[in-house]
Amino acid sequence: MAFKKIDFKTKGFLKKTMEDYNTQAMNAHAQGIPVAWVTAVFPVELLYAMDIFPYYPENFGAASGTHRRTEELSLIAERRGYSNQYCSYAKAGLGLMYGNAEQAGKEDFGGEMPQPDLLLPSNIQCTPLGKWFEITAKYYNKPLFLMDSPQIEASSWESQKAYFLQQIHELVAFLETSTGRKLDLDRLCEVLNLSTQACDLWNQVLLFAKNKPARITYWDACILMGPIVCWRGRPEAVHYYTELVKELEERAASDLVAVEGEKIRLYWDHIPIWPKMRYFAEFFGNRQTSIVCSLYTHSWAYKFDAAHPLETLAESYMREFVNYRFDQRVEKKIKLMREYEVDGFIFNLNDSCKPNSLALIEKKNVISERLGIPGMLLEADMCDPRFFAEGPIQNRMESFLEMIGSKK
Amino acid sequence: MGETEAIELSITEIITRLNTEITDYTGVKKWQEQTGGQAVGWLPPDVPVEIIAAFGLLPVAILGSQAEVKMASAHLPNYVCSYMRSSLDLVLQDKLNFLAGLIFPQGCDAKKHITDLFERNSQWTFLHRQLLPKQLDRPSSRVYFAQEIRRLISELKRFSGVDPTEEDYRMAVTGYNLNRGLLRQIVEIQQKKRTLSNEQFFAIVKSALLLPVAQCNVYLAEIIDAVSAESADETKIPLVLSGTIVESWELLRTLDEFGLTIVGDDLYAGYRYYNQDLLLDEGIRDPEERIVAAVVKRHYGQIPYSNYFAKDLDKKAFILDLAARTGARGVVFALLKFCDAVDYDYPLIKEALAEQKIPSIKLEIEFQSAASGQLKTRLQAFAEIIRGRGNGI
Ligand code: SF4
Ligand code: SF4
Repeated sequence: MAFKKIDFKTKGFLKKTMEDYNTQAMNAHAQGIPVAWVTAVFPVELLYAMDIFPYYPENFGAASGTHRRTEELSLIAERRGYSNQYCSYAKAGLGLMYGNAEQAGKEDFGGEMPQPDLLLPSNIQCTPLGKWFEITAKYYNKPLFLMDSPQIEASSWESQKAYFLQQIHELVAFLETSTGRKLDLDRLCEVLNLSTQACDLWNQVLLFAKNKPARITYWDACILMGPIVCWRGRPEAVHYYTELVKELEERAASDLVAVEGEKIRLYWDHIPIWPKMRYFAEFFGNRQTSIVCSLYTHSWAYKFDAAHPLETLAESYMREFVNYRFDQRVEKKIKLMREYEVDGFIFNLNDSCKPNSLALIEKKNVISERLGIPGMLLEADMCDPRFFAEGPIQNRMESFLEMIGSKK
Repeated sequence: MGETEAIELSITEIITRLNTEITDYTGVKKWQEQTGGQAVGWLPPDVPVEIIAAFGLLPVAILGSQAEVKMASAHLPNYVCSYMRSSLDLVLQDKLNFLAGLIFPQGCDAKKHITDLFERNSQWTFLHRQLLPKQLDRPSSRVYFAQEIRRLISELKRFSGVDPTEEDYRMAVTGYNLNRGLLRQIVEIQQKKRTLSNEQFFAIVKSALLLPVAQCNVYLAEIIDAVSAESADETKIPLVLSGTIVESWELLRTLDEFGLTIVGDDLYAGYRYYNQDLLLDEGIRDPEERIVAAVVKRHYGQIPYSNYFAKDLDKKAFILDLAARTGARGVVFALLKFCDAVDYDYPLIKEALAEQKIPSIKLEIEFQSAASGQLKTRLQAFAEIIRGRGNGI
């Protein structure tokens, strides 16, 4: 049976919520609001509490992938001596920055990212984000503050927490000095509560993939996650996810499922291949397969303790899954796989995200053995079509699904 | 003439002996047989070897291998630098079993994540992750770094059952300070005279990372005697080398072939290792706190490293200054493939060099790659550009 994607009724609301975000980002300067570039895993609640607009260049990176602009943008950066082997988000971002400069006056090239007043990378996810932001900071001559997060280590945990907390204090001082705005702790508590609410709602959304058959898939979640990344800490995220949860409850009541006739359930690690989202959704959908979970979409699960606002920020962000080492990451994956009752998993050796895919081959072996389910490795860049070969990948996915199907 | 030849021979002789000692960790294994002592592996950057030595343990750097990678490819995606790939291969082939343990600095993303694979595929009961703050500007950085050095000491105590005395620390520091001082003397002579080939020079640096320090110091002193007697070789072109680690001996030989001599570098398996002594502050009474403070002080006076963020520690400025100080007439970027963080810094430095009319060349190197015809052609052309300029043509 041919797969037919059912659109969400709240699709328009999502579109508007994300458009509002981009409009506010682009209009911030005109309204006298400073723009801070931040990375996805950054204690952004502080910024919203101080009326500093947090902008996520990774979103631009992903959008360039979806709109198939990565190669074009990357080539601009490559002409300057940057390498095509970097993370595609950084390649696109650098390409846009230099491309805008080269094409100054030609209207339709850029303008998709607001210029930063402050650059606030954290290295919880990776180092490339910091390097990209550093180059940008030099280019625009703006200050950079790296939120440094060493990988969690049991015997170092107390000093790690102290280190991160001290950096939060340093960050507040840095923000106050650079923007002249003061942090109001009461306001921060409000933001933290909004953030917790949004995370809670987001996790309710994800739970609808636990249903058998799933009500939503990972492909949906990758799109639906926009507001939890950008609007976390603001009422916009809460409003949108409240509506989405309602819609999903309706879906459940009327027994609407994501993939008709679902036979196979899989886990995916971790970022999707943006330019091929529809291809993958249809490929799996047509084979009665739902991708039901991924640590990528399950990242946003903060439960802040507003009684200790700064401490709770420090601890919550440090404990993001990407900041753990092999064993703990494996446990987290296994937990999700069990909870969502998957029949197998797909790990992408994403050229872009070297740090987070470096150990996936061994993880695959460990998890297969522990859970007795098969895993498959893909080799594809998440954005750059130069590092994606559809033919061989499709063949391998076909045989993988056949193998799982034959076992069931 | 005859005299010069005799000295030439003697440098060659010393280096030949040295090479025998550093190949396949021969010197380390001999030391183990003779003393019954334990060796602990470490990787650059920024592991304080003096502390390991104070415990009576022999610090031995793991510097990968140029041999064909046999087993690591089944464990790693293809986008991991060849230093890490070949080092993991050594583990998988049981070639590092002579080590009692390993100290792994989390200096870059690749190291951070590959440590897990080292741990999973080895038998070591002691595998210490040395966490390194990546921002160096703010007070929190030093506090945390100091804590990490304390943690290293306490883990070493637990592992070895030894509690070093004040004298143990002092002796270790003295030995390594002497070693680093001798290396600096050699590079300074090299800057003036360019007597040693690149291959010889980097074999010397490597010996400091691999051999028992006292033994290495004897070699270094002999080398200094031998090179001091030499006259300068003005035909060689002085260059700066930028990167992390150079184990591509083919590259070094090719540079030699075209009369290009490295007189300054920013490698972590190079100048970063030996550019400063460890200075004990006698005002600090507690011997442990004294060494912690010394390591912190050295760390925050280090040269730039692309994986660290510091406002005033600009790599571009450092390279320009290094070129000026050493009289280098060009810069070779020998960047390991997939070593992204370092690669990100390259374009802006290249641009700045071009503005100053300093020729530069970027080579993408791998531990296993032999010198290709293309590499030779490029380096030859590079040498010609510099020579052309140098002669005012
Ligand atoms: S995809 Fe990976 S490397 Fe790229 S920005 Fe995200 S975490 Fe960093
Ligand atoms: S060469 Fe680069 S990527 Fe490899 S270990 Fe060193 S810093 Fe990391």
